[in-house]
Amino acid sequence: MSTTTDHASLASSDDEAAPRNTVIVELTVNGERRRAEVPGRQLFSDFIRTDCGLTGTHTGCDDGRCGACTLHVDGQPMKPCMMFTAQADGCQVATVESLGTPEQLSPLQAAFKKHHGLQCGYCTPGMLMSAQALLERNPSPTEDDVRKAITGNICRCTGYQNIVDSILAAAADARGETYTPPSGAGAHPAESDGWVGKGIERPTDNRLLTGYGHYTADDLPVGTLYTAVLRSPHAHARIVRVDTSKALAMDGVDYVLTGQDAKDTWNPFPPTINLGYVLNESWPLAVDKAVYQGEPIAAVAARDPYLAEDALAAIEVEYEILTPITTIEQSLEGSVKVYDDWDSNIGMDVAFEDGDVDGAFARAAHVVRHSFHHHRYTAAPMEARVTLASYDRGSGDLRIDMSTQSAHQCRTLFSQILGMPEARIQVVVKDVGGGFGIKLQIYDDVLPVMLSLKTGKPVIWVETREENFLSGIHARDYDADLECAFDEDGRILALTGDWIGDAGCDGTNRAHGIGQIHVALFYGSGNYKVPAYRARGRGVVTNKAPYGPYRGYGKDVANQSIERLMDVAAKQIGLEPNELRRRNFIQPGEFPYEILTGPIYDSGNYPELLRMAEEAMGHVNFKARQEAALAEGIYLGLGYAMMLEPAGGSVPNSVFNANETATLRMMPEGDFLLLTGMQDIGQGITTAYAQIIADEMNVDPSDVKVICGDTDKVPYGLGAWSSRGGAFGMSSSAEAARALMEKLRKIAAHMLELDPFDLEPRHGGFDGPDGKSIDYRQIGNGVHLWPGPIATVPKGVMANLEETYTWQSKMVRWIPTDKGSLSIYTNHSSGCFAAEVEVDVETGQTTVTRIYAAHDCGKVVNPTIVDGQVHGGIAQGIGAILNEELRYDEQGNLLNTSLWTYMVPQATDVPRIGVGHLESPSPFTTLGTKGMGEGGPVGTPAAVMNAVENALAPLGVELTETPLSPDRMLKMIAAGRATS
Amino acid sequence: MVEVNAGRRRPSSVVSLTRVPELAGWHREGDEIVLGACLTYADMERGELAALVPALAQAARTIGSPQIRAVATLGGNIGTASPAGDTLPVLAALDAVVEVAGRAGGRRVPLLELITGVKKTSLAPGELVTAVRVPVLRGGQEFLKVGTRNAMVISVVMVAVVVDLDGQSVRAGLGSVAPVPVRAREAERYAGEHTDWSRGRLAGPAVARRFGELCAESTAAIDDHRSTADYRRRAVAVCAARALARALPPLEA
Ligand SMILES: Cc1cc2nc3c(=O)[nH]c(=O)nc-3n(C[C@H](O)[C@H](O)[C@H](O)COP(=O)(O)OP(=O)(O)OC[C@H]3O[C@@H](n4cnc5c(N)ncnc54)[C@H](O)[C@@H]3O)c2cc1C
Ligand code: FES
Ligand code: FES
Repeated sequence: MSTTTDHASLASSDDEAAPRNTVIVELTVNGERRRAEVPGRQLFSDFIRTDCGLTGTHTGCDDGRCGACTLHVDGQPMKPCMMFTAQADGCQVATVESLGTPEQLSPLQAAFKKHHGLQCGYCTPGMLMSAQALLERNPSPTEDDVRKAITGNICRCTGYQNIVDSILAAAADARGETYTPPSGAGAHPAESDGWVGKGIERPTDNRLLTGYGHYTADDLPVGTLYTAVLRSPHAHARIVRVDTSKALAMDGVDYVLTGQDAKDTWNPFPPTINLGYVLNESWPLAVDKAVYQGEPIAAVAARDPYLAEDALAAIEVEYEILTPITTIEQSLEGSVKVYDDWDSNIGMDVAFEDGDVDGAFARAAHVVRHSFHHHRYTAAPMEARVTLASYDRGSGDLRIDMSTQSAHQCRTLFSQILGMPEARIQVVVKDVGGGFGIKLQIYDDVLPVMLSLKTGKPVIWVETREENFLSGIHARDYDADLECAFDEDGRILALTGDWIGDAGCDGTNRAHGIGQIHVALFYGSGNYKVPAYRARGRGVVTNKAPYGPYRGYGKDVANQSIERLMDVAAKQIGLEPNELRRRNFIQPGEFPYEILTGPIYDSGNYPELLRMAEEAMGHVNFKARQEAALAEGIYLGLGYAMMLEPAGGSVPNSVFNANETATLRMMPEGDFLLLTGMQDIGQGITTAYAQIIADEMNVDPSDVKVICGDTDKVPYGLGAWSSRGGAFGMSSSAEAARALMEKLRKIAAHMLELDPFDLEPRHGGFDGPDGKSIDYRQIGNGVHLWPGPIATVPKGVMANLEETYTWQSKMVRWIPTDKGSLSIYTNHSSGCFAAEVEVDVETGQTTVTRIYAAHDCGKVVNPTIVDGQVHGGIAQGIGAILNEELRYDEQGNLLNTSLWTYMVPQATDVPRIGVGHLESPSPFTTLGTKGMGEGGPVGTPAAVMNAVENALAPLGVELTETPLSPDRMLKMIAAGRATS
Repeated sequence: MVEVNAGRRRPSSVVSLTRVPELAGWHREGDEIVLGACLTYADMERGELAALVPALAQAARTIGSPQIRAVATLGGNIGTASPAGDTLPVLAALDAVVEVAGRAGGRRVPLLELITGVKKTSLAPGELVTAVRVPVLRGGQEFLKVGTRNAMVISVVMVAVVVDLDGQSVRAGLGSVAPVPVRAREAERYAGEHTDWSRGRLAGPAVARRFGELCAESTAAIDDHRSTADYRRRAVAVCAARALARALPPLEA
């Protein structure tokens, strides 16, 4: 479409070729004629967002892959990040804002809302525009047509199924038909009378569907400066010299920050977790030495993002390249050290032992060993990290808007780094375009804050996709070595596990991932009874990006280990894998069940979950299908994995601690405001919490507004991680509501001159004997206005209409026994995941053709939201095990730095997902709820691997490496063929 | 555009060809089709053109997403000269000839001579691709691509097989296995010799397998972030064998 005629560099401002040239464009946007003079190199996506203020058009990659920016140009869906504004001259452009309004959704938008076709909403505008174009061309698309039409749009939250159903439903509706999604979904729990248990639609969706969302980059104060970060091109290098003078002299550049400058002004990163780990001392920008490729060296604040990037090219840095450490082996060997002041590269070394392990192995009928290396991958949320810092020189206050999962911890960490009183800092979280664990720490996020303090101006950092891969948080990447002793019936006698995690350059400060190996050690026994257990967990540093959580935090490590071991063991012992599982399950009657390492499993029914999965997958008929297919040279496999999701972590000596507070406030007009320290990051807690309050207070969810994510508004709370909402968020909210209910009852009784026990709660108020009755509104007005508290509030009751409740888990035990057992999780959600695959043994390609999850997260508050979480998690699990891999070369260069080379699943990669529910309420939470956000990525990978191994059983293949990319698959197939 | 955003290029000026009508669309000239440089993938995927040059349509369908297929052009695919450019092995197999225009006038260059290396062409500064000429052939055509997943993926390996029943030849273009698109001449010769041209069938299934192996031998594949050289060679062998068996079904063994 366009061709480059000159490759002149824009390195410095005195460069004559630098394009200060502008072009005049005339175009129609959403029916409105516009004429504008814009820089020739301006991307059209920037024009739409900044010049037109149409912030419904999102960007998630800037290289044409994610589709978040999709809009229509002359009726065709296009990606404006791949166009210059100049190219839109004379065109008719339509953005998501042209479809419908929050008050009047378009039919397609309404279908997305009804079928829960969005979670964080970041991909949604682009998805809608692609879908709209499809429906305009093809009013009767098949499911396959729909999936193909949205291959250019990545969604990281939904697993695509509800999006596909939304689009098919909208199409059917327009044809005057009704759409029923193909079965695949399992039975839901019986509907309750109340709001809890109902899959109600999310009221927040109207904004997100129409471009009225407020993500951090959407609302910029006048005069905001843009950040660009110069990153180390070397994995390990001494910094000899940094010269920023040329960059600083450029027109439009306000400030250039270096590591030395940061060190002279502020403090190093504080630790975020320390359970006896070795800590490093690091600054937000490298000072003497860069320890991974991508580490910030300098950060520019400039008038526009293009100038900021130009300025990077003018910074001179001299490096002395050092030998990098890129593997666990090199790190352990230790001749090169990542941190000069450490004794070795080992940051964590923990062990546990209980029971007669050696004796068990000595008398075992079968000893099974399984070792594997698990690859490195990352969350890649569609909205990368974004931070907008506004330092007010007048008041000395600092406001930080950011896309984070944990506002309060960020505030404290900012205060510690900046040496600034914490109360002066306000962290505000608006809409968050997905988090999945990588938005739980502050790391590069502090750069715009420092720049704002230096310049006295608002400064934004919008992370590029490349930066997100280079320095965003990485997860997994560990070696596992397991050994299990069985008796002759296949009952586990003892288990040993040894895990070593590659924590990159940091697993405690910049990110806190080292603890995930610690968690794995606690949960190595999974859903099974293990009478003797020995485990060791180590975390070592290397010259790779920081190591953090990604929808799992070690639960995934434990799960993958034990569930792969089960299949490998079954083969060796000569049992069906699921029979081996059944023989070792913790039984339904045994809960609460304390495992050797200390955690107390609250409730569950593992045999039933497995039965549900077998039934859904047609287990009994599969063998015949498999054999018939094999006769035609087609390799089908069916695999299962149990899933255990410890939820609601309460980690001592960390910013991931053990309490959560909710305040429920009644307005004088009788409606409610819930203030919670939990964070909505797209998972829909504001809807679920409103349902809980609605039931507790006897009102409708629309009478409840839920506020989260503003440290100046909500009580101190810890945010969204470790699926802690199901325990902490829901329990604290329900308890605050119960306390407020009692208060209202007392006030109502006083106002009606009755005994509180004579009152019956009813919808929106109380009824008493003799036809006496009072509404919340009358109570609210009575207390605050007419006549006022003196006349309406009884003695001993504080004259306000709110209650605050801080919930702590009774199950947490931090004092270790002499053997070292501890309990830091409250809930243990569970599941059984099953996958059917087809493997092309000639090309090594694997297709997941069916997938099902039997899921148990206790009392389900909103089944639609729960299903959505499971779908999205499963898609992430499929991507993780088949394709997503962060590959480093021997020099420590990251090879996948775009969505082109880091392959997250698209709609055509994910099959239809079935979900069945079981409800085993937790006895340890107020409502019996359990946290459930992480099960999909925890259970899916092992299920897929077990299925692939099942498919390849005729070839004698054992899978010892991940991901199952075609090249690795062919290698493992060849190895299997050679040995069998 | 991909490179502008990735910061690998900071062009001082960019020329848009979108509105040059001479470069759009396609037409037939006798036994040849003239494809305009601004022909989009969406144009290639369907209609009469897809029936005339099926391998090109198959390649176009595997490219990018609907948003990209609507705008990305044949000229751009050639100009990019990426080893993974999807139309290139098809054009190579078709012995496509590229029409180039510049200040000094026009010239015609075979595609394989135009592309000289990874992202390198013999285009002089100021020269433009204006059209591409491909023959209309009687016979099966097949394009197969292995990526690390099914759609919207940059290829790891591509194979285009074109059969010319009248000229009694088989031609194979390979992509992503060398810096430039490759023709598997040895394999082509072998397949040509082991075909029952009177019936338009391969002599037997073993021919397709051997053809695949010969194709694999003509590659110069490398390891990169998408895959390994070893994998690429094996995948070429498998895909080439499958493509040939579809384009020219074998007689039963
Ligand atoms: C989301 C996405 C997915 C993609 N998927 C694929 C894929 O699956 N397979 C694949 O092969 N490619 C893929 N590409 C790459 C892209 O589609 C091709 O390179 C495309 O053909 C470029 O066409 P364009 O017209 O947009 O060229 P531009 O991007 O405008 O230009 C590309 C290069 O070609 C030069 N050029 C353009 N036209 C001419 C001309 N007429 N004469 C001489 N030089 C010219 C330009 O100067 C420039 O150097 C993808 C790109 C994106 C953004
Ligand atoms: S921002 Fe345009 S495709 Fe990702
Ligand atoms: S809803 Fe699609 S990315 Fe979050």
